[in-house]
Amino acid sequence: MDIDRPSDPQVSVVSSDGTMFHTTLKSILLSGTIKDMIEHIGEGGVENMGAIPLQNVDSKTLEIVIKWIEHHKDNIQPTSEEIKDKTADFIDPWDENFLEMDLDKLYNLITAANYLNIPQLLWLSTRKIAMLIKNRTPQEIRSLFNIEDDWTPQEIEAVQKENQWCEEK
Amino acid sequence: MNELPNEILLKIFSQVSSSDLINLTSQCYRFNEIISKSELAHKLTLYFRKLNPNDDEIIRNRKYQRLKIGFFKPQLHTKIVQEIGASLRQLEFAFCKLKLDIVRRVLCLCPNVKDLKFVKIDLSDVPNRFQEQPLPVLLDVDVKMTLSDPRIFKVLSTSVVTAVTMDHKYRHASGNVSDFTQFLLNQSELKELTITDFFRTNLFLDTSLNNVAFRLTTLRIKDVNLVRTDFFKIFLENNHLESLETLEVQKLEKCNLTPIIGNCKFLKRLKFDATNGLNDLEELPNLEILTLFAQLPLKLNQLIHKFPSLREVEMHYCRLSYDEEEFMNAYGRISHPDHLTTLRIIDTTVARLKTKTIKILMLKNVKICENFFENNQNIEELHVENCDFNDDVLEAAITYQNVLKKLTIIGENITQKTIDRIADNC
Repeated sequence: MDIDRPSDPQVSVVSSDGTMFHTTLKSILLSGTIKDMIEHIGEGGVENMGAIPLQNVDSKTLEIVIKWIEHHKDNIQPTSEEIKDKTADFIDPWDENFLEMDLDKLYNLITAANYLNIPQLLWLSTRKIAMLIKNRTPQEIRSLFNIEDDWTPQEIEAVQKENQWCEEK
Repeated sequence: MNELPNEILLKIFSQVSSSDLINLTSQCYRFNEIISKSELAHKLTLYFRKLNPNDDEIIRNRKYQRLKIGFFKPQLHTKIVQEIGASLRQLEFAFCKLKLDIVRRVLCLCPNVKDLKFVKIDLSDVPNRFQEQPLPVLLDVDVKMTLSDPRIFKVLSTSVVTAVTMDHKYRHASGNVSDFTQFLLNQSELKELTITDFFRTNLFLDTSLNNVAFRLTTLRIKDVNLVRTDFFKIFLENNHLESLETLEVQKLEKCNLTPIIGNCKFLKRLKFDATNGLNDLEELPNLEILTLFAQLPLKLNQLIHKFPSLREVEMHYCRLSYDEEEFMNAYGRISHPDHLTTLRIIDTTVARLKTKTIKILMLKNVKICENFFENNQNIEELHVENCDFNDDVLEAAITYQNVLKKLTIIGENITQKTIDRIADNC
């Protein structure tokens, strides 16, 4: 199957709650998971394969994912290795703006990016959370992310003591 | 955030700095588990490993207590050490080749270090002596050195060291530890000395260590082949007989220390491969913990008679027998109603053991005979590891023990039937 043909055929995907979305082949191929699926369809061809069901992604999240892949469909997809080495200094302002969403949406986006295997989106969205963690006190982190404190005071003291001399690298 | 799976959390955590990571470990049990068990755990130590232009920025305004040096670039790292040196308590040099002068300069900048460690350190540019440059003066420091060039001791002789652990597995070992000898001669407060793996060495080769300024409370010496054991004995006799509380002597070639040990009257802990037997050993009134490696039949009765303060005995290879009643008949008193309560028996057979006083018993690689537990009924903690026994023996272990509080069984030969029997009886 020639997936690099210049014309960009329509592809449909269906969210876990049954909503159908239309996008293009080039966009959807940014997802490693779907790329694998399509490559295994073989001779039948993309045009005839019908809508792809995505059991693990709800419609709200899928909408966000599609917005992102359509924006980036013409970018070269970096492999996860490249992302690892990349310095985190430069982020596309469009992406920065795109990721302005509440935490619950962001968690869902991360889970979807992981499931759909979109390394660049996974990196961006996890980085967003990492940025929120950076340079905050433990108390700020706790309230921001609503983390339940399941330590006893003795345990927390022990952990802090253990780590008090620890530092960078 | 808690609904995210571990792999995703790790992706997030791998993008934050170490100080953030430290904050995360205290958030909740799960975060701590994820971070400590992942490869991120190494981020929790300050470690000079490779050139990092951000080092300078990273260390600002932080109170470091521990530094590990696995790489040192003078123009980059000297400044960092200058800034944090005074607050450092623990310093480790690990897995690298350094100029001895760098070690000297770093130590001069870290005057408050109490734990100093060298792991696999090679040296280059070692001068015969340092002239004009100051040597570091560390106080009450504990030095541990492994697989490292012993010439490091050149820069330590002006420090006041309280404990030294030194092995001589250094791969370029020339056998020359004269710097170590010189270092020992300069010490006055040394209390603990541990030396292992010294082969073909010039340690104790002459009389220079016959009289030293320090008095050891702990001496551990293992796998050592001294050319002149007589000088080593003089080192012990002249200096440490009155001070030694802990003595561990193992695999010391051609060196019978038995007469000297008998003269260490304040000894509390003794670890000893009694190749010459214990018969020559004199009474040690304060001995509390005894570990023996010896392939000989051993009557615990005799031991207890010789060491009246004994609390714990661990024995390897010895064929053991002990009968309390026999002891009472022989010596006219009950053996230690309060004292000897812990017995660890390893790699051996137990010929006969009859006691009411042992409360903690550990058996490892031991063949346990049929009526063993009938004869020993007051055990509170029982640890059985890789032992040869049948189910009946184990059942007896449980049924006869009225006071058993803790039972540990490790081994391959445990059947489901055994486990069921234990469950039924508890």
